[in-house]
Amino acid sequence: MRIAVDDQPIDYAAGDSVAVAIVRAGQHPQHGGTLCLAGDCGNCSAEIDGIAFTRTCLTPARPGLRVTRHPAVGGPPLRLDAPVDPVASPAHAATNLRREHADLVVIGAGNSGRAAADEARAADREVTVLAGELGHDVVGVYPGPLIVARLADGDMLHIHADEVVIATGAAELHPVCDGNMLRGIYTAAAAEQLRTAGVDLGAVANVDLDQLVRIDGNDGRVTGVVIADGSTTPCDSVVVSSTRKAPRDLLARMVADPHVRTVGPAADKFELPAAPTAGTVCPCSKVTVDDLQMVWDKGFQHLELIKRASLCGTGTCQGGVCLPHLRAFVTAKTGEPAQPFTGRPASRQLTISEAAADVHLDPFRRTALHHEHVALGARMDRFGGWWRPWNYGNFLDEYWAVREGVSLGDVSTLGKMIITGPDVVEALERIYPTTIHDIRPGRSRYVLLLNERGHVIDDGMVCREVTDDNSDRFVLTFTSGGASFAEAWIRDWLETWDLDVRLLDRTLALGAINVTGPLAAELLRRIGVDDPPRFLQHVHIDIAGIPCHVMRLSFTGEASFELHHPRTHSVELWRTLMDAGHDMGVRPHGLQALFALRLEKGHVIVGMDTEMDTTPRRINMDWAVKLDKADFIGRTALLRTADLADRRRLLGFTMPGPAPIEGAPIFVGDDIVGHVTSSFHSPGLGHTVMLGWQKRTPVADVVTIDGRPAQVTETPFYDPQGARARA
Amino acid sequence: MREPEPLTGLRVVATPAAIDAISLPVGATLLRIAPDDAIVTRVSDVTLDDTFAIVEPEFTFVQWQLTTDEFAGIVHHIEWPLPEPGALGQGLIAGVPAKIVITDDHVQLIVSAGLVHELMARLW
Repeated sequence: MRIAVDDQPIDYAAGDSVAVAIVRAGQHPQHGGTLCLAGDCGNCSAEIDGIAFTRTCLTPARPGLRVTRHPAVGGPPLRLDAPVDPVASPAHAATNLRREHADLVVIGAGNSGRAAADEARAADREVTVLAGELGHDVVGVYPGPLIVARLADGDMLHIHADEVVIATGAAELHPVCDGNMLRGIYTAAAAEQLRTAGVDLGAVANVDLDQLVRIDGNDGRVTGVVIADGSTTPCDSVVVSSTRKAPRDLLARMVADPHVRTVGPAADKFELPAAPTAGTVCPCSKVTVDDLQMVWDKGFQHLELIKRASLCGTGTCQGGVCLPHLRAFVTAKTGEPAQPFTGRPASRQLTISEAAADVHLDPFRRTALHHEHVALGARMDRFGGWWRPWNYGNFLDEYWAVREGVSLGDVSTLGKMIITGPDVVEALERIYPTTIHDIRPGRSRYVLLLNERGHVIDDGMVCREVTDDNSDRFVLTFTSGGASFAEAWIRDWLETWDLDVRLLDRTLALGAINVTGPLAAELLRRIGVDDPPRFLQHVHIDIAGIPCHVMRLSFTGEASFELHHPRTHSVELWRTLMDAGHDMGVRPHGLQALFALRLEKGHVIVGMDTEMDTTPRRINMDWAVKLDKADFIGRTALLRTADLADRRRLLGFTMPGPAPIEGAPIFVGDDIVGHVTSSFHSPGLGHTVMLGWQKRTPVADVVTIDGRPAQVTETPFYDPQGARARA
Repeated sequence: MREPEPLTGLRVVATPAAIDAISLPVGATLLRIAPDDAIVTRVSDVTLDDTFAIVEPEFTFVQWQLTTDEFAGIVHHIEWPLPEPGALGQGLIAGVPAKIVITDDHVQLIVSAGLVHELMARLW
């Protein structure tokens, strides 16, 4: 029976771990260092079947298993899978996750673990035991408590427990002295394990840890050992023993939870070894005593700081080997007992797949028209929690279709809510900074949504419905990315105010198609809308037999009609419009064209052109705020700051030539005074248009962007009178 | 996995008392999403003691009727306690917002139509 180590076959015996098989072959799983063969250190870790940092002492040998030793210097090579498509839906995680709930979980099956389990069972408790010998590799304990373990079959296990008992025992100490990274050094238990397996260790020198001074070697192998009395013993192997053992308390140090307790040797007080004076303290990170002294001399004189500065304790074994010696080092320096550093999951190396078992990216919604877009050649991308068409091949074709003909846009992603109730007008007056009571039925109004600090958090429309009984009922719209938050925000306030209001979020129930362009009204007439609503009006009508709520507004700068309808009829309505407008050259437009079109109009996109502390004044939208009306969210803050100087302004800029990238810095002289938030070279206007921030007064009329002069310009850049939108 | 069916019915937003008092015809079901919010299936109209109630046709969701074995194959994706039989349970399933109703012989799995592709990719 053979395994392959660095592509060289070696024999192994039945029952061998990979580490034992390698030692049996006269080799070392790494390039040197003490072997404990108990999983406590990282000195035997290697790449096994493509997984790096696998403990060979815990891995049974089996025919054909491939072991590749880590390089002596540096980490193992990172093996990458095929490049990931950034706009594709994520693939399944490869590792399964099992979830369990348990009464009492005991970690460890040694004497203390068995005792804890027996005691609990005697008290009629249900006990789950997790232990390495049972195929469990516990890698973390979290508050809850929640235990995360890797299972022998490759699955991950999450156990939510009422109580956890950590009974992980204690570990043998490794020697820290000159020569401690040679091959041929074993702890006493490791040596016993090897002897039992019939491994010939050659001439063995047994030494007590406290008596050990130095280990001599040649060509990386042990040749002798020097002890405290000055004597040297020639040998092939050094076996180090100690009466002291270090608590295996890494899991216990991960969590402070009253439902987690530690028992047995893992909880014992521990007499530290003598402070190290030479050699490698942390084999995983190759940190020597000299390294510790260096960071100490630089002022890092606390154990947690030394850990971060030197990386001692941050490697494979997470302090399993080095922590006692590091504590001894600090204790000797300060005279005060140094406490262990905080433990953090994971205690074992996990693959990305294991760490991400059953962890999913945020889901992204599709509109009902998703497959229509794909069939039309759309490049889909993620925006605001949705998959949306970015373009359909040539966004300038889409741009011109809107400006000169007619185009369809999928705006199903917009937030859409119905709100009514006896207190609805009062509620909306408090929510929005503009007046609501004077919106007539069948009319709509653009609104900002502010927070208590008067900062813009969203925008949309308020549409007052025509009702049979003259009751107050409104449809609210929000941005695609802001709808979910807006709903929660509004519900919070309604509850706070204790107003009698009903609110229904229809965002996911309704599709919406924006028919826009100078021929939009003509297209609607072709499908039976004889009297399309006028600007800022809205009506409920059937179109091609589909109940639609038609809102007349404009984000593109051209006449626009949003057709809100049941999402189950989106495809039917879309195809009806495309067919009816075929000879008019109707085509869909994606977000890329939409962003350009609205930029020509100077329309702000909340979150793209605004910042987290943007007030209406800073984006020149004071007109959307009525400070003279009764209280609304943000009014107090706006009143308080109204007379204060404010240096920040979102401004329009124009320049000849190509558009600078969005985010480009805006210079006045050598000073950066802001940045570009949106930019587009407008073929219709013949120059570049931009929105950007100036955050310094006096506001400069001419700035430098991308090394070229740019002129501050009033917005809208296109159709400043709005005649086309109202046409 | 087979494609889901649309979940049709009426969406009702009204006072909790008005929803409590809804009288369901035989065969109809009421899925209580929140105290003031419910979906009533297999009805064309609903009588409510709330002048301001919002009643709209529901188009948001799709559903599967899973067999017990089919549900056993996905239950490990559910971290939250399963609802009592007949009650509506809501939460993330494999990271996707979804709802379930457990009955004697099947489990009704409900998800927004806009997220069905995500749920199917993650469960099956």
